[in-house]
Formats: sequence, C-alpha cells, structure tokens
Amino acid sequence: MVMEAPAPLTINIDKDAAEHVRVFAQQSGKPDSHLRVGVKGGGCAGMTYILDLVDTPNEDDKVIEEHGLQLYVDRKSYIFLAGTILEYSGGLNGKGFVFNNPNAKTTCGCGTSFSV
Amino acid sequence: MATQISTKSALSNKLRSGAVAFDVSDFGRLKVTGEDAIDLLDRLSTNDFKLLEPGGGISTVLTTNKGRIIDLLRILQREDDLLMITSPGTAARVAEWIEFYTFVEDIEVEDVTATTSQWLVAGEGAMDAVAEAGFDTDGLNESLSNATTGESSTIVRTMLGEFPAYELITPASEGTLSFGAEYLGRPELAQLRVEQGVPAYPQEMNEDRNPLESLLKPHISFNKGCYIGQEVVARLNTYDRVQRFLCQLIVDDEETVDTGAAVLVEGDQVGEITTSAPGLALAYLRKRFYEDGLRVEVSSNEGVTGATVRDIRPPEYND
Repeated sequence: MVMEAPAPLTINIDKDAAEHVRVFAQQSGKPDSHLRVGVKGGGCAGMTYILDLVDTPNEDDKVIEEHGLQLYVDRKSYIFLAGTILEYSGGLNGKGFVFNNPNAKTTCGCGTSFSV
Repeated sequence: MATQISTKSALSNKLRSGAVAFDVSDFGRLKVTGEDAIDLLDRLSTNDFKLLEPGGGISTVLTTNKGRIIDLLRILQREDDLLMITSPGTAARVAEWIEFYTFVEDIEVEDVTATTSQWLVAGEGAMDAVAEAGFDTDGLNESLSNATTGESSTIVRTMLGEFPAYELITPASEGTLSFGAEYLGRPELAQLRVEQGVPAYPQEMNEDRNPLESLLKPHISFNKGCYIGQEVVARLNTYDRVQRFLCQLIVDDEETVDTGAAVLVEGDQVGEITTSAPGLALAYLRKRFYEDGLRVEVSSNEGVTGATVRDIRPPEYND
C-alpha cells in the first residue's frame, strides 16, 4: 500500500475572497496590488489578524499564489497562520474577510483576535 | 467605603517627619527603543498610552489573555527611550512576553537590570534628602514625571502609599548614594507596603489574580480599546463579577500572622493572608465579607488571632 504524503501546510484564500480583494484593490486605486496577510500582538485574545494591500513582498516573506492573487506572509506570522483558509462572508449578516485558522484555540467575542 | 490610610507606627512617623532610603536595585529595568514600542505596549497592557508624554510616565498592567496579571509595569518616557521598571525577578519574563508578541514591529528591549542601580527615597522630607545627594527635583510634580540627571541617571517622582517619594536609577558603577536619609532594609519596606496597602509581585499580584481584585483599577483604561485580556477585565468590571478584593487586616495584640493563613468568619474560610507585618496584614477577602470594620479570625499553626477588616480600595472602586 502506497501512503500519500500529506499536503504541506499553507495558507489558502478561496475564490470569493480573492475576488473581493481584487474589487477592494481597484476601489483603492491600486489594481495591481497583492495581499499582505499577517498577525500582530494585541486584541483581547492575544493576536490580531492583519490584511493590507501592498505592491511587493518584503525580503523574508513567504509568497503564496492562488486564484491569480499573491499572498505575502512574514515568517513569524506564518507559524500562527499555517493551515488557515481566508474566506469572505458577505451579505447583511456577513463579517467580511474571515480567517478559518486551525491554530486558534480561542477567539474573542468580536472574532478579530485569537490565541494559540 | 474605603477608609483613609493613616498609620502611626514608629516607621511611618519617620517618613512623616523626614525621609528614609532603600536600595531597590532588585526591581527589573528594561530599556525599550524603536518606533513601534509605544504602539505595541499599548496593545499588550491595560492603560492608555495616549496619556504618556515626554518626561512623563505611565503605570500599566501586563495581562494574559485570561485577564490575569503578569506584572504591574511603570514606564518612563525619557528623551531617547522608554525605561520600563518591573517587579523584582520579572524582567526576563516581561521581556520574553514582549518578544513573543513582536512580529514585524520596530522594537528593541534591553535588560539593564544588572548594569544599573535603583534607589527609593520616601517621606515628607524626600525632596531635601535627594537634594543632599545632588539631585534636582524641579518640575517633578506629577507621579512618574522624570528627568535625566548627571551623566546618565534618571530621577523619578513616585509615591509610597500616602508618602511622596523619588526613585533614582543610576549606573551600577556609581555605588551607594549618600542621601540625607537613613537607609533601611527589606523588612521595613515590606512593613511600609503593608501599612500603605500596596500590592506586590508575587504575593498579591500573579497569574492567579486579576487586576481588579488586586486593586489595580487606577492602572486600567476602560475606553482605550483592545489589549490582551481586555475582554475578560471589562466583563469582570461591567458585570461586577470580581469575587474577592485585597484588604488590610488590623491584627489584635500587634501579632504577626503567617503568610498563607486562613481568614475565617464563623469558622468558614473567607480569605487568605498574602503578606504580614507586626499587627497588620494584607489578605484577599471574599467580596461578601469585604466590609470596613468587620471582625474576622486568622487561623494558622500558631493558633487563632482576631483581626479587623480595613477597606483599602482606591476611589476608582466607588464608581
């Protein structure tokens, strides 16, 4: 029996979320920009997600490409985000961009921060 | 309702009529630099760093995401850096905590505890006492206001309970300073702390305690926005969920009770002694029994001693 190696942990963005990033990029007058995804200390639970439109990666960034969009992630944030799927929740009750992060043990009430 | 703290011990009379000095070099000192230092520290601790000004300072509580105390920090904004004063023995833990939550921020934390000394001069005559050692206190009126003095020393205006105080941070190589004040040791400082109701790490402040029960409410901003532990601390405050508070016990017959001794009401444990001095103690007491003047018993190996509860919560707790 041949065992298949598990897929390496990465960060994924689903198609709908990638489309929304493109829309926001155009609305911001930066249609060619890509997405910085990261974490910073703070927020009730300890770590807060960050999203930013940027033109180029930093030197040590991990670069992930999906649905024609590049995600730039600094190395330390990557440790806490590996396995995350970035989705978009729209509509009247939608939350906007949602991080489905398997490393998050708890999240705060508003969902913007997490602990590991 | 809290009573005004006013003690008449021989020790506090020394501070009332003059000043005393302590070597407090065992407190931790971290030099913090970097463009993002203030922003990051604001995200990690309870107070509002918008209040911090050059030459000023802020006291703030570093809390876990469960709203428990890592340490009470005093942060001084000097000309070129921030000087963070931690409790004795916590500098490495505090530095590690900041490092863990640093991702892309521009911040450097350097532990200068071993290369600097720290002196505390307290009492109504503190200003004259530090002047005798050549330190100028002009303009240092607000708590934690500070100035660089001499080649590389810092003078800070502080308080020790009800008494005015100054703290000096000097290069360790300068040795002991000659203040116009009697030098006292750790037992006397511990006694003053109990008399003045000042919590300390790790006896009263630790990761089993939240800042509200430890009487640290004056160091918490409830409208600054998110920081680590904010949701828990805000909920405890808003819904009045704090289960116990730190109190002072006036112990009968000037006895010194054991640390860790149980505080009893009608035979049931309602609290625990955290620090004691002759005739006085600090204790955590269940909220239901936190009543100024309530008679309790303290039970330890030596036997049972009577004591009276004193409410020492600061005015912020009257809201």
